[in-house]
Amino acid sequence: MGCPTYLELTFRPDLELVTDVRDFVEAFYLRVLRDPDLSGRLMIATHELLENAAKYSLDGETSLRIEVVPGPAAHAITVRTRNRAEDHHVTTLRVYLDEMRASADPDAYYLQRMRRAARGTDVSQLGLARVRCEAELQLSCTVEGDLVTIHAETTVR
Amino acid sequence: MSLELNIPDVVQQGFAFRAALDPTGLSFQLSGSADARATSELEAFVRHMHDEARRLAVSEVVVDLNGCKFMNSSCFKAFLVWLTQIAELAPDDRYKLRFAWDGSSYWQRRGLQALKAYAVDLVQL
Repeated sequence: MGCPTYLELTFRPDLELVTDVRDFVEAFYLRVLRDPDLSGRLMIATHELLENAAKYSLDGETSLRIEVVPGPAAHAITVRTRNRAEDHHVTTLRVYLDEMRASADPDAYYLQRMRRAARGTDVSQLGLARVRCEAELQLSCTVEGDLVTIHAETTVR
Repeated sequence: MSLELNIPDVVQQGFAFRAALDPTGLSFQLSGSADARATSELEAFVRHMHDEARRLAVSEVVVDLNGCKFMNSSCFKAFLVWLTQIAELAPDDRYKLRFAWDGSSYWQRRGLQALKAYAVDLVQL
């Protein structure tokens, strides 16, 4: 594997800052990847993950790391957000990710989520399914105490 | 029945929603970034669009996304709700959403594919 290219930001956002950060990282993606469609995928993931982090952060602080690791045949790309969160939000996240993993077909799962969202009156809970389906990234999370890290990853040739 | 459109423009920092009624029909133009700042405004705007589309008995509404830089999942949900409301109308009262969009925009291409899958008979691309 070659030397990684990465960008790391830590900030205490209000939701308005998410848009500014998304615009900033768009330039990073286009510069590093030179692939508008791949940049578009990563933009979706970055925005949705950052909004979630900003919404559910216990102390308002969120960190974002974007990493591109070149390999002989493919690049490994990771978008990672990290924030402190309340227990019940962590539980909801785990249930959501388990449910998503159990569904083999990202399109079918997304459609099911869209139907639920359209009938629901609360938050959409569409963001992670969108990252998996529209951005075509694999999602996972790790939890250490109240610190939640969400990883969205892909490999591109 | 008045043919005047009763939907005021929404113009705020970062996004704008504008409705128009002309001889070609009823249209809705989104510009800027439809994200967390815009969600509640978009939900309300879409409700007005639906009410006006029904009052005017149009067969379609054109939704112009060409100036829309990004849409988050909460704003995307507003369109799912809108399509669900249209689907719940009597068949003769239903109208379609015809999207004008930027083919070079990845999120528009993939997002509209998803909307089409959600309501195949009501979405025209």
